[in-house]
Amino acid sequence: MLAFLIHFLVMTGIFAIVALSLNFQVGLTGLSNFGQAAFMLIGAYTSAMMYMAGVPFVFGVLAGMVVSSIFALIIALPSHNLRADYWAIVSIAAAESLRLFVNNEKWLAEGPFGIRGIPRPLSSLFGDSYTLFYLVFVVVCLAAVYFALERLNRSPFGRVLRGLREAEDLMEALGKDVFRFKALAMIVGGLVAALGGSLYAHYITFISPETFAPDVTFLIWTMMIVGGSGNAKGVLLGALVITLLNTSTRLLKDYLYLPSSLVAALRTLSIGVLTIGFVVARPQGILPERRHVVSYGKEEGGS
Amino acid sequence: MGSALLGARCPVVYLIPLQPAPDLEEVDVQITQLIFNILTRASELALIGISLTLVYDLLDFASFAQNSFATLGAYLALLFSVGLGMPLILAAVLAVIITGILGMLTDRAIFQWLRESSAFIRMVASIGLAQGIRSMVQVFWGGQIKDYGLGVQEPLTILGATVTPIRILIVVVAGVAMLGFHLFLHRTNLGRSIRATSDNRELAEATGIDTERVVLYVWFLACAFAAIGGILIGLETQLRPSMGQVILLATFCVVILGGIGNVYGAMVGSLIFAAAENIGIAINIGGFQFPVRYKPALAFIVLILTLLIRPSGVLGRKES
Amino acid sequence: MLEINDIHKAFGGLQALSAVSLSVKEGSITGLIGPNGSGKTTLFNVITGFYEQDRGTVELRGNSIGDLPPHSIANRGMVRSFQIPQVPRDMTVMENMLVAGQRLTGENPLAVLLRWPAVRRQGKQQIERAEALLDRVGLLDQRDEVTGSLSGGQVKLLAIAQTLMTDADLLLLDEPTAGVDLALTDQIMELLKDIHAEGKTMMIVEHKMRVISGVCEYVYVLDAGKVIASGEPTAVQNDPHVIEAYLGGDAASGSREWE
Repeated sequence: MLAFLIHFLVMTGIFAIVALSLNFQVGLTGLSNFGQAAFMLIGAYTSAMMYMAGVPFVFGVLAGMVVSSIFALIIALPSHNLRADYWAIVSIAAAESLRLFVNNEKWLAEGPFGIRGIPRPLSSLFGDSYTLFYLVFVVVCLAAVYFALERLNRSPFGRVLRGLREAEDLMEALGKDVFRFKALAMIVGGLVAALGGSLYAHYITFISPETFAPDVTFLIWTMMIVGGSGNAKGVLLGALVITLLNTSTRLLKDYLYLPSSLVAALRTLSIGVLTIGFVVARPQGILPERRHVVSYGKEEGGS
Repeated sequence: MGSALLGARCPVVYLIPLQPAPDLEEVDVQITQLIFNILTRASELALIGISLTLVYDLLDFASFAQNSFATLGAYLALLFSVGLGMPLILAAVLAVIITGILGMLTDRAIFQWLRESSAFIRMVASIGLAQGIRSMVQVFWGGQIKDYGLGVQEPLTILGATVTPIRILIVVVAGVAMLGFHLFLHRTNLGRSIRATSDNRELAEATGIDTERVVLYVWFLACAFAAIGGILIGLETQLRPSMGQVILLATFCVVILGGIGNVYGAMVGSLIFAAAENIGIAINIGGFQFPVRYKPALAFIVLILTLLIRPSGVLGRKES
Repeated sequence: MLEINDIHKAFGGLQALSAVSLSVKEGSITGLIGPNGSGKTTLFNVITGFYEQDRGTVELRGNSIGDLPPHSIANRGMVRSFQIPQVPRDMTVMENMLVAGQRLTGENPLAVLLRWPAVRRQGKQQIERAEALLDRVGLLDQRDEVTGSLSGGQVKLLAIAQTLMTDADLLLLDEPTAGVDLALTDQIMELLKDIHAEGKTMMIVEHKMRVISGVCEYVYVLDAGKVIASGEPTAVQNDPHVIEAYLGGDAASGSREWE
């Protein structure tokens, strides 16, 4: 039971990190990015392959972040003044093309077979209680990401991003290079998502192109919508709720003896219903975005 | 090359590059084969493309759900034909009508509450809906591949192209459907109302058109068309829960290429896109050939090019 | 300071601007008036880089800015407001002011994350400046309210205050009193005169003659995309071409614009 709880918390933590990254791009900046799975894929594959080639874990993760930043630019460049629905289509297309590429090019990363047996960093040190250690590690990363993104949100940088959401022309007129800010938002979100992907890879120890199908992106979106886009605490809550839903249906399978494909379908169904429900009834999510009160004690950098 | 095995030479041109110095007869065969392949592919895409365009035009959002309605239509036809023993044609008609009605129901259940929301919100709702429909199909029919049980078809040779009767049927059905749609739009009152509402909603309201009713009918039409498209795809290949979604990018590409806001754009776009796919993959220039396994990525490339060069599409209205 | 020469701009088949030339002297308040649809906002959009002209040049302090994007132009000291103010509804008034600060170190995410001291220092400065400006326009009490809860007039005031938050010394204001009641119009007119007295150069689009004659030193009149008159407000007011342009269409609306 404890093992299940730890597993659940680790998965929640990993998804929360990716959800926060999406929130930064979508909730804050208003970019309808539907290619998040691709950033996770980049982070996962890069850090896995580099670690297995002997590169220290941290550098592998950083390398994944660098590659995902480049990919973020690739998406942002042709899209920067497209409307939301075009952004969505382009980002899905880009993500799927990347996934197709990884799937087809066997020389790169075993193609559809994926990478197995990804070693877990410091596994020898912790032996049996490794998952507990990993949980602490994930929580530390999550905290770092949370506070870093909140700081960015409250800074002048974050203000421009939030201004971009609804008043892009005004931002231009005030001297902000809108493309640069959108690109930066994509990059920041992309590299945080890559971190999430790396954490996933080294925990589950198996990844393949299938792992990062668009369904993952939709799952993260649901977390953001349910929890509250634009509100980091809300997004954490959303990650918790959705991961709970995800993992508990797995329990359902064991207790009700349902075939796993049926359970998977029911899971996707409930995610879809939940998304629609919130979009119609409570689009702001459980915890709506809160206004920022700026004062002497709280100016940028402070909390 | 002339005596190559049938399978190696045709039916699908895009598995083989055009030979460097083909003799005239081969070129003719290849071209008519090419044309036919393009028509078939375009037929499948165009119907779902029209579905997308209708929703885009009248409800002003990109619906990710139309492809799932196509899947649903295909599976309903399966239910009625293979499951309940009806003749395929009857099953298909019934499936199309029911899918159309389901489309109307989803408007009442979901999208009517989102009229005042942003187009983006409606799009996100449609993504949830697409997930929901796809997983429901999976719950009821399972994930294994299914088909309409028509058996292996004897290919015919027409004008040098090798075609199966099914593929002829697909092109014919699509053609009839589009012709019928064109006539409907221009010769019936409802069609005129739809065009008026699409052009200028407030004006249409002012002239007494019940735009909410028009919206309902459009949902019916859009989902019915999607269902036809899905059934045709199922006829040509097989049925699986993801069958609609695997061509999601292609259908969006078709619509954007042809020009959003213009149903004829979907038809034009699907021809151009199918041509690009078939020709692009068959072309062999100095040894470089577009790899077949990257065919889905072609959609991405075409999309980016369209958005960069002419975002309003071939037939679309230019946004000011 | 600002030289506009022979600007042409067409949309589809419609010629929005033809052979428009005007100049704004440093330290002056120049007005741009004309009936609705005469191309005033289009001209603003061309000058500030939102539209690209088909022909003609725009020069700021002698440097050509005709092909620069809006943000570059803004960073060279020319800032504009919008006829229908774009306000991020979920941001507070104070945040709206702070976001107008130009070239802030805090706009660099790396600087924020690494806690460069300049970020905090500038932050304090900006808050003080913003509070002073908000006090001046009478919005200090609404400092922490979201702009979505402000009235139309308050939003207009905020827009003007925002332009003052920037480092720009040439302000282009697009109908700063549009849709605003009489009392507030007077308040805004006083504000504009004060800003002028502090040395800022301004160009104001208006179609209320009253505002123009009360505030501007020199006026250009636009009609159907062409400059039909220019000069001091009193002279322009009495120019027969101008009167005809305003009253020629619909007498009722024309004379209302003439208030």
